[in-house]
Amino acid sequence: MMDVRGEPLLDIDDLRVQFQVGSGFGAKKVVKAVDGVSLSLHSGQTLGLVGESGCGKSTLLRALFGLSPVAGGKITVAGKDVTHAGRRERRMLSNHMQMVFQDPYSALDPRMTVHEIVAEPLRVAGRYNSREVEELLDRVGVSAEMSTRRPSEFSGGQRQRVGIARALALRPRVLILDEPVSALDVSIQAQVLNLLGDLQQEFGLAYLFVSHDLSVVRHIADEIAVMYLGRIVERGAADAVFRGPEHPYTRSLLASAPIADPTRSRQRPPRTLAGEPPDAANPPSGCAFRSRCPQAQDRCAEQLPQLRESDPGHSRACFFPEIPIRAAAS
Amino acid sequence: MSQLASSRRPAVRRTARTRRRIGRLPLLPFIGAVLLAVMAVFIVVVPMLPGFDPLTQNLSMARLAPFTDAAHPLGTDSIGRDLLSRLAEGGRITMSITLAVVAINVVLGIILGLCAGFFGGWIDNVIGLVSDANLAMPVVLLLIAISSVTGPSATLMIVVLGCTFWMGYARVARAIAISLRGRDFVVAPQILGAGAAWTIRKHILPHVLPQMLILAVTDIGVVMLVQAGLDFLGLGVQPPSPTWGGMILEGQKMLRLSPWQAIIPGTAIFMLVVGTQFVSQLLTAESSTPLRKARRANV
Repeated sequence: MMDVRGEPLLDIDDLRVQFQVGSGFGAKKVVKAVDGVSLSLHSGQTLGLVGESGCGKSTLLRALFGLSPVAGGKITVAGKDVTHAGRRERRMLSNHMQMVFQDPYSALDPRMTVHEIVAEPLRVAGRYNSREVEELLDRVGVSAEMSTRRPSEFSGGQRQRVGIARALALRPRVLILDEPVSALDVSIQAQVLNLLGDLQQEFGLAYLFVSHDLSVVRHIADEIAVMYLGRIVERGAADAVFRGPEHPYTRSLLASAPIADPTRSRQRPPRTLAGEPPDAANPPSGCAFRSRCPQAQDRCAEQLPQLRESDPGHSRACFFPEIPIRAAAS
Repeated sequence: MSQLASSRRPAVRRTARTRRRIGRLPLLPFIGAVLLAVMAVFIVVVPMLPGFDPLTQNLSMARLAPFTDAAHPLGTDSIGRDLLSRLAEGGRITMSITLAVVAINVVLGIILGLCAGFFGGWIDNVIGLVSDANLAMPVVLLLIAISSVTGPSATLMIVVLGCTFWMGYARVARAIAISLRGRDFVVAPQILGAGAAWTIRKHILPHVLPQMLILAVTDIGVVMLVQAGLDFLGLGVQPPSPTWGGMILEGQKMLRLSPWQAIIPGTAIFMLVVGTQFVSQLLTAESSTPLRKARRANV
């Protein structure tokens, strides 16, 4: 469960990432891919970050590792400010925080053996140890005789296990999981999620789990943050958010999640989200969601709603969160 | 009897396997490999023969036709030097220069191409500009200009050719680097705090090398032709050292009287160029097979 005691392992404070788009003679536009996101992650905790494609999830993750241009805000890992860390600091940082990639096919170098792939973090850190690599592979369920093979001989699930072993090689305390199971078959997803759960207990890992699959997030996350067009629009304990979503965007997301049971699926009123997400280079004034919001009012176009707490530990960025609860009840 | 048979069995099996492998070789690469092998043996074996002497002149024995004199199986040139010896010695010189040039090209091309592709931005622009300028520069004119100051020499030709035929390698290496640099397995070491040199060496170079090998084999023929042309123009290796291009130059003056003087080295160049082209076909096919397999596995 959630552990809010002590200092967070990963603390993101008002992070902003901006890209300049449009070159040549036209006026340059600034895309605010991540716009004032604050999150924190404690030991043993899993924070699920959800949102549709293009909302800035991946950019946020890349910013954590210095791969996106940070325009403002602060990233603290294990008490150290790493917002603009140099190469040497990145090496130190990699002892605390590692990443598991979404696509297990592009995450592993096809010309390396699996042993070499898992050994790489240790080699970069200058403390390679063959036995340690074998132990890591064994821990994630890849047998020793397979370690001399190349990724092309592995299935997607096995590859993702190798990716997890590589991420664990330096014994980090925070794992950034970028849609780690979205590229896998449903049956394999469960195995990998179970492995992640076991590893979390064993090593006391904190997970920042990015996904667009709500059922996966519900399964694994303690806390949930919902992102829309670069901003967090709702945040709270997983149960609270799933039972009583307060932001209209969260409600639409939950409503559009597929239900595996056809009878129940037919009973549910069709309430999918209309339209496309707006152009990030030209977002609507005020609340970015108002162009698709079923309950938008004049005020939404004029002011930007801030993230406000409704219950302890549950907050949303909406001026009119109460309306549809009543509507849904009627 | 039976003991003999059993001891022979593995050998039989091995030859059977070799034959199967040769049988599976497509015809053209097979011919190419045989041509190259014959040339290599020729260049190595002939200098060990007792009558090897590429330089001694003997005007009384000038312009002997091939296959008429046991001491000079391929005949002699217009000042009576043994053509067989000159062909082998010329091949050795020509091949060493060619390999040196190709080696310089490959190294330059890989370094510049990987830097351009991996870093992009202004580095890519500068390298692209240098490459384009190089492509637009006529090599022969450049060589004539420089050798008018320094005098022609083999070293000069190696340096000039080495610095003017790297662009093909650079372009291919750059393209591969660009296609790889966004992949997660190239991003992963950057997250670890590994430097660009590590990332390029470990994750991009191994993907580039097989393609470079194919290009290099194809290029051997091209460089040899250019070099023969330069020798022919008198811009390369200086007489009396024989080169294939130089031998054609000498033979060309006597084309009416003793056509074999030009035909023999011409045939040698032809065989080597054709051989490298045919072998490179095989390498291309070989290298694309695992790629196709990998792609199929990915989809």
